[in-house]
Amino acid sequence: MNLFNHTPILILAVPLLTAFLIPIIGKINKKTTGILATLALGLSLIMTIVLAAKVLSVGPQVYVFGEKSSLLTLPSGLKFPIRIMFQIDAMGIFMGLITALVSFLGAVYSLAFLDNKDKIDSYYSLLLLLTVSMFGMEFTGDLFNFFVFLEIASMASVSLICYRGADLGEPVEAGFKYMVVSSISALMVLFAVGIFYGEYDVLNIAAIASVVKYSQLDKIALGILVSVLAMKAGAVPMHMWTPDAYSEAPAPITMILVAASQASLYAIFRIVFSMYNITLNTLAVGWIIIILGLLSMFIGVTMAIIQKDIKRLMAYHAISQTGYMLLGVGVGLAVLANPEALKDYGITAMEGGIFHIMNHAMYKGLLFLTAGALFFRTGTRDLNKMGGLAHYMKYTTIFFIIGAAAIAGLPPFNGFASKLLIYESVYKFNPLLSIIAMVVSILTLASFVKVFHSAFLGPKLPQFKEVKEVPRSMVFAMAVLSCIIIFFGLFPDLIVKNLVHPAVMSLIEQLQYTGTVLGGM
Amino acid sequence: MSLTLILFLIGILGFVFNRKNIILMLISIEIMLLSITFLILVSSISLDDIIGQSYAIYIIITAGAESAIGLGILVAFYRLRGSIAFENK
Repeated sequence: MNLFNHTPILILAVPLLTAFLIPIIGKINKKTTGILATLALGLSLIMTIVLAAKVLSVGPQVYVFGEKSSLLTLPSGLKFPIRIMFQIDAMGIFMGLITALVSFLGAVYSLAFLDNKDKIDSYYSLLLLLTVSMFGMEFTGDLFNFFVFLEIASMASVSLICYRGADLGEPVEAGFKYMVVSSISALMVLFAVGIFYGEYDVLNIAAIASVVKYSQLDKIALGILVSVLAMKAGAVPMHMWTPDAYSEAPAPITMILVAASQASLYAIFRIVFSMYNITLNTLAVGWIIIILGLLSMFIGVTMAIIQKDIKRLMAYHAISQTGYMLLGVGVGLAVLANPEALKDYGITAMEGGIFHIMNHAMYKGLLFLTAGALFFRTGTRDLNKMGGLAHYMKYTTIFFIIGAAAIAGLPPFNGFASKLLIYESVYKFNPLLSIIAMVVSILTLASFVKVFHSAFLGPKLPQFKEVKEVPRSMVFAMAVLSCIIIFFGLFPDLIVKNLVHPAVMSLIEQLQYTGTVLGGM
Repeated sequence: MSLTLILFLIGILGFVFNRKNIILMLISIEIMLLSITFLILVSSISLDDIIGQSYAIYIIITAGAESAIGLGILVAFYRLRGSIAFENK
């Protein structure tokens, strides 16, 4: 059917159209807006799975907006015809699957999490816009298009962080901090876009990849892009916005913000691997990414142990796990120019880092949803005030144990699979890095034992006597994530061979990326 | 290129050395966006490619939307705090 050819744009168009219909429908009946949003995201999820099957079996897909071929006669004043393209290869659809799943579960969870206040239609509308922008960042093949989607993502997430800010001051302050950070990062990305436009006159990633030289201006642009997108992803010297933003947002939005930060991380990898590839000094840039990763891991987990607020603690752990991803891919980048080392441990390191992206979205999402469930029933996020909740909320306790075991890297869950890949391959590169990674893992386990003890264990407290289990849609969302965590932990080989390895190879082989665009021109 | 750098530096200095209020921060961000719009426009003229002008219009649209959200947050901030000066806690 002809509709299958248009799945790349339908994945974005269906939530976008629904996002603009929801305020109109919300004037008639507010309760149906939630169900409509969930249906739209469910449709996107199904289409993403269909597109993933097509990309992984056939090859990278290109979807062109604008002229069908670059050789048509041009109107005067234009050097090239206007063509913006979506280029979806294995790495893009990998991130797209994460985005689709996380947003769908966030919308399902929000059906019960939000009280029926009067801003509920703007919440769902903004959630759909945030999802559209994340899909756009992951599917696009054009730098200016990436900038526009980055701006949409920051605006939607800033508004969602301030959702509870009508009578509280902290969400508004956190939202303002995040807005300043995302404005500066969008600005700097635009600066790099301006440099590329002035130098090469093209802004398509594959076209720049075929003409880039590593001149002085290109080095400046690379430095700007890597540091600023790392700031958006929450790497350490620039991580100040993460605890405030993640803790003040409503719980399902925090889960989607984690996926948005990883979309920025994907952008770093796309620029470094597919745009520059071997023209840059891979050892130097690889070591810079490795050092960013090490700092994030260590500082994230040591700041996390001392926190009293459960969501702030989990936000610092999100910073720490981002460090693992940067470490794995940084090692792969550092040996990119060296073919035997690449085949020996470079590819395994990158597989570990990229598999960790998916695992992190799953277990961090589950942990944030359980923290949201605790907040929903008890009204507080302070660990000192909670206690003995395992007596009342049995399902939440089980889901929390699964999430905490996954993040600490215990064997039957998925954190162990990706962390083992990272430890083994990074050890062959430099043993000290691997030892630091293992120490950080032990400290992660320690801090989650602390959280489990404070929140769940202990005698029954009198002030929580009427606390029941959370509603069914919230339990459903958490249960789906737990099943995926257990499945990935028991059969990691299936996932690595079918999803992660094609993603890594599509990053490393730049010719495959440029060939599908320029060869089809 | 030198016009871009000078305006960008003015924006950054205004952002960093700001002790009075928050609106100056938003204005400095706008100045920085303007400097990059100039870079793209000048490149478009010297490369004789009209698509740079479309990019500049897109940037102006995006900057306007972002300022709208920033000022909305500022209004919410003002209602809760009573002033928009930086606080020394």
